Amino acid sequence: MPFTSAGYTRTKTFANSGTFTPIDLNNIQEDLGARALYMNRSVVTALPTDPVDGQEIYYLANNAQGNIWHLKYRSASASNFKWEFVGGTPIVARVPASEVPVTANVWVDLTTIGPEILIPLDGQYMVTAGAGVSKFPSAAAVVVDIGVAIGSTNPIGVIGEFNWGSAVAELCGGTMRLVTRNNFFKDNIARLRYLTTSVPASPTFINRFIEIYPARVG
Amino acid sequence: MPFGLNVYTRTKNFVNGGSLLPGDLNSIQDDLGNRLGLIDTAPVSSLPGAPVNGQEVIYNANITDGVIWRFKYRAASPNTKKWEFQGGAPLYTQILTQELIGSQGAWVNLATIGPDITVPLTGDYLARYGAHCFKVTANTTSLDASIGVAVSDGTPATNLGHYQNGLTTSHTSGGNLGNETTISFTSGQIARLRYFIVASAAGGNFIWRWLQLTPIRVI
Repeated sequence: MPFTSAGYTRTKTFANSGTFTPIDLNNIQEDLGARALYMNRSVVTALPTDPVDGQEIYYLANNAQGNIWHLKYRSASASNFKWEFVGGTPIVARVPASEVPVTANVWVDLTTIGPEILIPLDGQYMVTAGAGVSKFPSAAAVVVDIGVAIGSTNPIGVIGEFNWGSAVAELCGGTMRLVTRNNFFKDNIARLRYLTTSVPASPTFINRFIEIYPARVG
Repeated sequence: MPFGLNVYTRTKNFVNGGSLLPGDLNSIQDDLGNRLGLIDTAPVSSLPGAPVNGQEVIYNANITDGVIWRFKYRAASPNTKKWEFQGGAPLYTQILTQELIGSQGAWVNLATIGPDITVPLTGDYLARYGAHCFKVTANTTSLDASIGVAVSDGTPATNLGHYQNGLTTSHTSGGNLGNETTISFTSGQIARLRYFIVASAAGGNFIWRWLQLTPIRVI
């Protein structure tokens, strides 16, 4: 093969006083053509079953949102996730509604579950999530959390939290934002979940979002 | 060279009735083959020493974490950092343990230093970071805390993350701090999340600390 990691060497070297045969032209065309085709990076909806080292693809991660992920295969990776992320946009989900948890001290969903994202491939993902939270004037201290879970489980990785320890009846609030790197399997649901230590404090979550893109998949 | 900016001209123009020497095939192969090789390269662990305009590389930013970065060389850039970022995952580290900040009025590390990221290439980077700071026990001292990204144990320069609760009645409080900034690093330097509190009597604890680094342009 004329293409190696060190560069390119011509398929055959010709001397002006030498000869070439028609079949030489076939070999040259095939070498160059195969390499050009190799770089075609067609859009696929499933990972190739027989990838070769260095192969690149454009993976259609979400047809509705138009998320295409550029992935490159590294056979020498020690991880099972050998398709490494080269570029693309995150899948995003949002819930703008203002909603209140009705149970204290356990991780729960709100009336509108999520936001959540169906994971398209096994892999490690960069996850960004956030929400606005406010406490209406109630004389109750409260701690509120957000975290990214797999479905209805408890969150993993980095958590976002606000803590209002003052029992003065006051209106206060803020935003929480977290970034974490988590493993998911295909068809897992990455879901934003919520925790409050006090229902009477009536903490309200609003403008919730989650976005994911892969670090590597396989 | 047959390849200019977005244009190709054949290496040699042949005419019917003209001559075709076997050696002509050498330059045709070299021109096309080298150009294809420039576009699609195997991952490298150091940037090419003699880049040409438009060249692209896949750089191994962190093989353990499977992080690769695609760069394109733009010779006309007015900046000395001419390899411009095209895509890839960020470098990322997190520390989930809860730790107390021990001193006030100065930028410090916590017992578990960082999160840290060793910068692989000299360049300009987008650093994003965050943490949660809170009082474990109620007290009457205002909680006024900041975080920022520094070079090792230096002082964070700009775009700090900040949380403040000025209530002086006995209470607990806490919130998320986070921000992003652009920082220049040289290869091998450590990007480090550092911490500041105005009054240590507030008992500020930090937890769920994270730092991510994405290149903008590098040398």
